[in-house]
Amino acid sequence: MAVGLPESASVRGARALAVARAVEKRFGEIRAVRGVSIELEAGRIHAVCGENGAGKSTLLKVLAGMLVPDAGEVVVGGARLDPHTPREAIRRGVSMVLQHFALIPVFTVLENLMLGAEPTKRGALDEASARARAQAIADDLGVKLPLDERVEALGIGDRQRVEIARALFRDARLLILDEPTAVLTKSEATQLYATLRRLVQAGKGVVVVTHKLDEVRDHADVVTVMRRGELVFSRPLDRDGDVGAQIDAIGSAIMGAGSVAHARAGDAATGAGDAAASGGGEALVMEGVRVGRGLVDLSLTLREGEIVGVAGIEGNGQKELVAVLGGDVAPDAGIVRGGPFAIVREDRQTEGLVLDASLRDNVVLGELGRFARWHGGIDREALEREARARIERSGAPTDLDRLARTLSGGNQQKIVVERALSRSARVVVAAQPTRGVDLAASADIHAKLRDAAARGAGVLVISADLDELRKLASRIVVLARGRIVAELPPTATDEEIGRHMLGLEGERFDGATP
Amino acid sequence: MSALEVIVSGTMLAQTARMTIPYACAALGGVVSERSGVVNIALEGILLSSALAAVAVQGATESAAMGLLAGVLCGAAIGLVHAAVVVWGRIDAIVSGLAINLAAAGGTRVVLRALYGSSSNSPSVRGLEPFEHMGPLARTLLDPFLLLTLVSAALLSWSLRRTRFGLRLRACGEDPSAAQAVGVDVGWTRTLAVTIGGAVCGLGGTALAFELHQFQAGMTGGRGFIALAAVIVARWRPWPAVGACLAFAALDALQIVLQNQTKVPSQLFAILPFAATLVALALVSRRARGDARPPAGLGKHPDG
Amino acid sequence: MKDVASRAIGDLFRTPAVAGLAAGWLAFCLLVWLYGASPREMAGLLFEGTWGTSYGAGQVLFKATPLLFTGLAVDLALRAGLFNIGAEGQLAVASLAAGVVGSRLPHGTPAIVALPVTLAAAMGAGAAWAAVPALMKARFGAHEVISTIVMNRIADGLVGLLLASGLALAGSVRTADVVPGARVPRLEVALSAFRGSAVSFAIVAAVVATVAVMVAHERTRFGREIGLIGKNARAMEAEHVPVRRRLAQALVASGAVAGAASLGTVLGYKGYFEEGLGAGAGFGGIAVALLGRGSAAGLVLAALLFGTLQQGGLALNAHVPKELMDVLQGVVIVAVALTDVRLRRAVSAAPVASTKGAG
Repeated sequence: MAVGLPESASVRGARALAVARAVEKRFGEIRAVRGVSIELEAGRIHAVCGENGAGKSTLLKVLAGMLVPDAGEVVVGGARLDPHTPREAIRRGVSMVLQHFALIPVFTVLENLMLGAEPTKRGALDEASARARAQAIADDLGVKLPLDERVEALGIGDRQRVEIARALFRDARLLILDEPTAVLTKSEATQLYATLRRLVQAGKGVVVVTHKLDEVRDHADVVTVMRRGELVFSRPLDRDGDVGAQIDAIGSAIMGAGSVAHARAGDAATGAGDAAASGGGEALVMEGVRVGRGLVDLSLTLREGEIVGVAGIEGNGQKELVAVLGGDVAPDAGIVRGGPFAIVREDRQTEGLVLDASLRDNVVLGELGRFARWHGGIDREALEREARARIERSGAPTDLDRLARTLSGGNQQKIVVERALSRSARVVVAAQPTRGVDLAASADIHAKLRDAAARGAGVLVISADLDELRKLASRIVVLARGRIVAELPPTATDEEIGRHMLGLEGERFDGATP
Repeated sequence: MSALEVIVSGTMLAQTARMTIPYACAALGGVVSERSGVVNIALEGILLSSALAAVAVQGATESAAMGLLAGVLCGAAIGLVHAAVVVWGRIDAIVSGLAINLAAAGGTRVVLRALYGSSSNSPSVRGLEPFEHMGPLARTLLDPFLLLTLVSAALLSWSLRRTRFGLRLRACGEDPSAAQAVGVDVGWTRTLAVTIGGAVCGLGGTALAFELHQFQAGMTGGRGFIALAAVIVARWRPWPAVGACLAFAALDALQIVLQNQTKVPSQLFAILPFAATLVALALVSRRARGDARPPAGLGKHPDG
Repeated sequence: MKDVASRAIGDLFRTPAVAGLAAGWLAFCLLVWLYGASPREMAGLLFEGTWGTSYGAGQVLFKATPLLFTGLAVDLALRAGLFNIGAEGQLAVASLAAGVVGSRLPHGTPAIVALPVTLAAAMGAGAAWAAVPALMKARFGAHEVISTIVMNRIADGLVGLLLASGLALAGSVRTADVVPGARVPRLEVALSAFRGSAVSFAIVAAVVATVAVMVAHERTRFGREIGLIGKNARAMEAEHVPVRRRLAQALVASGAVAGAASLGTVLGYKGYFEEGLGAGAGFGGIAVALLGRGSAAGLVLAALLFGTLQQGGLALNAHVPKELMDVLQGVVIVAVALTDVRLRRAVSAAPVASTKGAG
């Protein structure tokens, strides 16, 4: 319970809590981590950066005992991690918070905290002492934990706090977080880093995997960059020096020399053309739409040729918005006029693709009816022509017999986007179109969405990434508690958008904020 | 006596109570196994094998206690096999369950012929009747199998909610990867759960055999499957599962009475418990929302 | 060199078919030995009783016929991710339907009418029996494993009940003979080597049906869609493929194919239906589907293997109980499943209400 130690106790000579030496990890043919050595120390926030598939998560999972390395060794708490299991790593004070939370939704917060480190008394669970301990941790973290609430009833930020509290519940000294801010809003992320800073000041070590360089700039003490399974460098951020230059260096290290300029150039092309197209007809009109408890009273107009961004904290109606536009549910009230629609769903692995089917099947998924003859047989030549054309446009590998599972996340997403855009829809809805996708593929996908708009479709982009929205959209609407609460230009700052997302602007007059 | 008199009589109630035992034990075994995330359609095969084991050992040792022990151990052993194949071999639990049921149906006949030279039934055994001098009511209430069943239900229910093992077991059933990530040994927890489930189910098989004082080939007659349906109807909770089994057993008892008392073809009544199961399944599945859902990790393996 | 060779042998044993055969053989030896007989002697008898003579081979084909149909049926459902454990019951009601309809046609009905009508009745009955769990799945999300098991039991009772209440000849548990036109001729008519054996042209029908269904899986909209649903129902739902309807249709189609197995039993063998005819073929079909999964050749070979075990069991019954073969079947299933990765991923039990809509 050494969380809230006074400032003076913060560690000076940083000690290595966990060390990887020449760690090697293969998945089949792929060498995910290639002979990487790294030291993770107490008293620091250590950012690990790299593109998707650079091996960051794999390396850290090896350090946390979740994956067994093929070669090299892992030293935790001064001795080789043996047996190489999460249980042993936890015992020695290393806990990892995964990107997909490892919380059990139907368990209460307290049950989740206890699991794996249960205090017992005479053979039964000792709930009272677990409760006291949880309370103490919550106090130290400066957060409130609803101990008797089921986790499924909590929002994403709360769940993350539970995850962190859980690691502390089992006396973690080194806390590893895998892309903790991927699903958080800016202000939630800021809160998270404040909590992490407290932990670091109390002498713990914190490792954060992230894509986001602004977070590195604002919060990291040490930065490690990985590319293609290899360690590019690992060094402290010199706060007294030119931080901007250091961040630029990190950026080019992540992308590999040369490719930065390309990605930047792609990103720089903002939705300038959209304004010109804003005179187009209405592609989608939503008026007073209500869906369950998710959408309360949503009104929105999308014109042809326009890209509109939807910002908002996850769980404020995004899911219902996609569901109603995707035709999964009918609105309980209100009007939805427009279409036909093409939807890029949020989770490509479970909703977007059939991973164990060929690219041929995936690129025309759900459209077999178009190729069916009267007797139910498929016109295979026509299907082959269409699939070939699409896959070539998509920019993904063109071997149609390949299984979707074998593609990288970025290429998988390209297939999903291409399929949606091939349907010549008047309204394109893209939910988190580049989540977990590397920079190069993101740029490709953004270009495609812009093309679709240029061809006259109305494009609605729902994303947690405000930078993405700013890059693409000609206007950003903010979704909060099931309504559109604000419409802002793409030049709006994070703080501005954030206030609306949190509902702080409410009924107040502009400029009347204290 | 008329059919109605029989139905409301104590005999019928006692009969229902006794007939509940095999169902309830199998269902409890199913609850433990499935709450840990391992689908268990092998209950039928476990009931059948443990019935034979109990009879064979009692016949050989002249000791009902040894018979009981053999039945329970046989159930545990088959549970262990199921767990080993599913948890460590990672094959689909339905496939393993089917194979076990098939092997048990054939295997019991093979053993029957090897031991007794008959492929239909064993010689009769005494069973377990310590209170023969008492009245029917006391005998029913003090029936050791009934008491053991109730104790098992109480123990399981309590330990699922209130012990470390129970918490971990439920975690394995809800999300094995998450449980593993926090250091729970999913394989071991599940193995233990399915083995314990097998033992409890074996108690049921023993009760069934001792009730009839012999083993008959195929004597379980689908009880394991009905018990499994009871698990689903009861939403994977121990006491409600016992309750659902009581209902199915009452139908079963009713069926026997009606078969003896009326002129309607017996097959019609034989269908009754199964038809009821089907209806219950339909009704329950329709409402499968909110609290009442199956363990989310049922049939899933942990990552890696 | 030696290392390479031993690794090659190791790999060989990791292929499902070889592992299944090896485990089956070991279990056979062990069980026979435990029973007090000589494995070598019994293996000899087993071979003589099956592939050793043309009569034995014919009997194996005869046993394999319904297994191939039910195996194909279970495989069809499995592609959609459904476990049809109800082939047993579906076949029972289908066989009754075949017996009843086939025997009530006018005596002189020509084969070109009688056979299709009888077969249609059988397949229709099988489909109708599968429709109950199919509807329960589609409407309520009830898990098909439990409901099909329960439907098997109900079929048992119902067939007995219907026979007892007038469909059987008086004082018996069998229907009247089907008209000659509805019978499937024995293979011995064309191939005298099979003289005396019960194998009929139904085996040819079974193989043709297997190939046809496999082609349909590739080349029809329905076949492809159920295959994709079996791999990821949620993605198909997101694309507005009517997943629940397709699942129900797949289960009904599976029931119809299972019902066609009565070609080999009622129409190709007895010429009437009696209680218990074809029993076990439904469960055997599950084993065939698991072993031969995914290809026509696999299904045919698996049906032949289990047909051999069944016929072999009969050949040995004087020395060791024929039920020994059921135990072997269980061992083979587990051994195959242990070595077949495909099976692990594709079949892994879908949660009970997985096909319910998102909203």
